[in-house]
Amino acid sequence: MKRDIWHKLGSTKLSIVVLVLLVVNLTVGYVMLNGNESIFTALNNLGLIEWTRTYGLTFPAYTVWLFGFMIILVILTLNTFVCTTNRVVSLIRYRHTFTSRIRLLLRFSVHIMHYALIIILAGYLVSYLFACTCPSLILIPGQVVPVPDTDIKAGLESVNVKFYEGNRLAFLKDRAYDVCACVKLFSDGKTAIKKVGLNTPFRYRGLSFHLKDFGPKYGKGLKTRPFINLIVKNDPGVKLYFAGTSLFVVGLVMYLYQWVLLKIR
Amino acid sequence: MKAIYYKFVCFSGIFLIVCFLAAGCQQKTRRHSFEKIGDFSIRILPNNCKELRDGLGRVLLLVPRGQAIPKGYASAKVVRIPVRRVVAYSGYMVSLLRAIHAIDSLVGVTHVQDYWLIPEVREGLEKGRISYVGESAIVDFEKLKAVRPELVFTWDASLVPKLEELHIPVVITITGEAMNLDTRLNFVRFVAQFFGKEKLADEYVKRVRSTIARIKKIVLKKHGTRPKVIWGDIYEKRVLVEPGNSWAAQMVKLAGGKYLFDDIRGSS
Repeated sequence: MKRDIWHKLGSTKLSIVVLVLLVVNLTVGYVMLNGNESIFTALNNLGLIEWTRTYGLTFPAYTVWLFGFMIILVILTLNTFVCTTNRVVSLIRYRHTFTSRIRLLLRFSVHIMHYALIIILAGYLVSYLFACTCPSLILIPGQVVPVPDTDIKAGLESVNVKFYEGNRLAFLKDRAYDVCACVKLFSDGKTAIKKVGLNTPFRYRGLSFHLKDFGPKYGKGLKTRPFINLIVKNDPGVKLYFAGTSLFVVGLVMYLYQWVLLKIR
Repeated sequence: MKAIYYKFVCFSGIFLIVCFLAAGCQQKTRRHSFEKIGDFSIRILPNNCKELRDGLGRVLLLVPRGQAIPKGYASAKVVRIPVRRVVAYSGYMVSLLRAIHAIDSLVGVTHVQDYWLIPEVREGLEKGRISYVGESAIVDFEKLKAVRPELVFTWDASLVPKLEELHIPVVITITGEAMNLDTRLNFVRFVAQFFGKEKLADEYVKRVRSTIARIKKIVLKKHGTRPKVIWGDIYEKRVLVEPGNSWAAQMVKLAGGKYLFDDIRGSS
């Protein structure tokens, strides 16, 4: 019985059915998402459980595809795991048929990539289940504020906003196009200064700090006080993504080595 | 292969049926303990407490006066309801307070008397019941503190740390994405939660909706060319226009106009 279930889970037919279902599901998702993005952006702040309790159950017509998507992904993950494990076991069993150890080792490359994909997916699940997000930590110069649910305090040392001063793009004249802010952090009697900018977050004591908004955005007129707004995330899934991605790269390099070098020979 | 095909068709069919059933359920149960108004949200908690998320996603906990703060909300900003003293940054916010009969709670504004057309505000400023606390970009925090507000409605995110230092709860009234017409209309219901005026807000929304429907009907009867319209503000040699996903663009379309930036999404 157990063996039967194992074989069915690892079958190629199941992979095809699941992949076709995934296409159908994502097509429905595409239609449901259109114009309703705000339902799903909340998922980043609330986490999966809280989001399901609120947005998920309040708007089932728009969110049911996502739950279907998760079920399909679980089946796909199981399918990938069983299928890959079967192949890895048979590779080990028939290892003596390989002429060299390196050839045997390189044969694992595809399977390493499959396992890596499972780890990346697990990372996403951990992230959506256990990550804690502070969606808005606003800092202004000369004031230190606590980072919620931690013993860390943060202050804004400086904000350097670059405004467009060229003549080629008239509509951008005096508008901000880049920002770099220095954030001073205090914890356990120690201080640290970190830089944050557009697409350049920083990590401190297990937390990641991402720039969400800043001011002023105009060099002339419409001036506001200098400030930055940060998203602070404590995401235990990040380590899994990195582990999965690193493993995937290892598998990919092995695969390319096998494909390029060994085939030439 | 046939069996797989049938299985696939069955799975897809079941999935689509579930989607439609869910859609039907949603139509029947519009009022939940959770409600989303654009990027704002309202969640009803036990004992008449409410968890609100403002335009920045900050959590505000609304607790009736004299009642203990529920567990698990240590880091939330607490607002005692109904709010009795409020400072509003924009004319739009003040208009909403008037619509839900909460204008008596207004104690501070960021525009001088000449700016206002609302008689209650003009009178309030004249008699000193409402204070001018400085222009929005250069608010006088001492004046603001002196009017003892229990809440500040503002679009300026940079104000949050300073007001939190003064222990004044603050609500950010704008969002990253432009408000569409539905959000713009229902925003009054979000505001009403602070004053216990939910019924009045519901009636107001109904009234505005029926007015829009009436105007739409009249416009539909008129045949002719659709005028091309843009909606924007001019700030020092710069014209900032509303995107196609904004309430302003939707109003233009409802009124029979053709909004020129209909294909652009963005913030207000």
